[in-house]
Amino acid sequence: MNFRKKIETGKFVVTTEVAPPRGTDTTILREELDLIPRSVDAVNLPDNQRSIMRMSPIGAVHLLHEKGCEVILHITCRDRNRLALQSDLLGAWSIGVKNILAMTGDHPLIGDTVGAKPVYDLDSTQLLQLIQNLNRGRDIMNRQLEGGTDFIAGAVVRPDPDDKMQLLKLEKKVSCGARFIQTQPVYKTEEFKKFLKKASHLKTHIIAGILPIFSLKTVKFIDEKLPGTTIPEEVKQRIKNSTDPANEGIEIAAEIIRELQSVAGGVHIMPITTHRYTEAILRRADLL
Amino acid sequence: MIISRQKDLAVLFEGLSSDDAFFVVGCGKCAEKLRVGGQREVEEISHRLVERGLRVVGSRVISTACSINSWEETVSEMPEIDDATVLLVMACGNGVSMISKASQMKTLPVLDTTSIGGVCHGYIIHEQCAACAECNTHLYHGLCPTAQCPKGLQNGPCGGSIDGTCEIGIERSCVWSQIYEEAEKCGSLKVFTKLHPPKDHSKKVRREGILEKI
Repeated sequence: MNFRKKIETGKFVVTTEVAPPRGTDTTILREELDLIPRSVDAVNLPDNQRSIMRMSPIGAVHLLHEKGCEVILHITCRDRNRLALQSDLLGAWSIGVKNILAMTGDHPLIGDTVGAKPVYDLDSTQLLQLIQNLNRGRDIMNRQLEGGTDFIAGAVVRPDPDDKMQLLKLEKKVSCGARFIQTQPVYKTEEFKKFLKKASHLKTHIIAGILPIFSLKTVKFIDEKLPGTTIPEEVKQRIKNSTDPANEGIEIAAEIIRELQSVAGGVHIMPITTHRYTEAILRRADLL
Repeated sequence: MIISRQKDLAVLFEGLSSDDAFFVVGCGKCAEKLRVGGQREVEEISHRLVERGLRVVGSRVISTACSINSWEETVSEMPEIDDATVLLVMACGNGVSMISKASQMKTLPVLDTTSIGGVCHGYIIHEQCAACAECNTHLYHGLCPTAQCPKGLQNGPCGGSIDGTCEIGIERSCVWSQIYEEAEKCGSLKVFTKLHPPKDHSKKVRREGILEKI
């Protein structure tokens, strides 16, 4: 069953992601893809994530297809105006992409190319609407296309049950056609459950983000580079006190997944550097 | 008000030639109010130019740098401008362009223009208007997300808005948080539930050219 079918039938999905290279050498990307278990439903391809320049995810799609992976292509509004968004989406459809994750995109000021012009001609909700248009065979000006798309579109959210604005934005994203939602990393499962309760009226499939921590270096990275993602002190202590932090990280990730399996629509595993432990996490969470 | 700030003068001075004669122009409107192009600043830069051994033939804070009338008035009152080979203009980019056009002289900007904003009780308020030619500030409780959100988002905050701060830095507050506060005060969160369409950027460009009869 493909990703879309699972979303449409409310099945639990497992997704993960790989980063396109910062250059033309795709060796590491191919090696990483080999580490991802075949049973994963789809693999995300980020689009200059955190505003750090990498190979175009559209250019990397074929590498995932060659390995038999279904792709969730990230499209951000940061680097493209509405013309480029439409043509890239049409191009993505033509090479077999079926799933789009629509995002506003991190500002260039927080990335590695700070002088870059931020585009943001559309925002994520307007991009989702645009995708709906393309799916109806119409462009943004409502003109008939020579063949439309049939994407399933999704969006992202920071799953903070107390952030009313983010919840309102999420509602808007869903009303604009977000059929699935991939969340920022979850560590506090009770808080995530509260968030799910607040979003329970929304007709969408919420996939919990899992960012495994394999070392204190990962802790430092998240603290410094991912504002909005807070690692609970208890998790930090478990990593710090463990003689085998990677194994402890696997256990923590698996515990979170097991805890969420009955409430979330799926899990999205997004290790920072390597998929070396992805299979172990899924196995320990009884998903393999 | 057009918000400007002084360029790095050391870099600016490096590019100046001792073969030239300079006339320094300030602007009695925004630049003066912001203390980047009033009498004091014009005198200060003139002094520093002389200190560097450069020839300054005169200086003047004209009433409005973006009005050609002001420039013509200045020229008629200050014939020494004719002795200058370079005008150093301490006004916004608009003032620099207008003076350059009116004077037909080599004109160097001393300021960098950053945004349209205002002043309030001794503070500069930056980025209040993006000159988008499609003002919809009333929809956002008097706050303009086009100008005040670094992404110009029309439909609510991005995920980088955390605890009322902006993704690009915690020192900066998220305009969407302020919009939310205002919306709550009004008892209507409609601005967050209504879908706002993309901006029409065609409105910013005049196909008919840059001259228009008033």
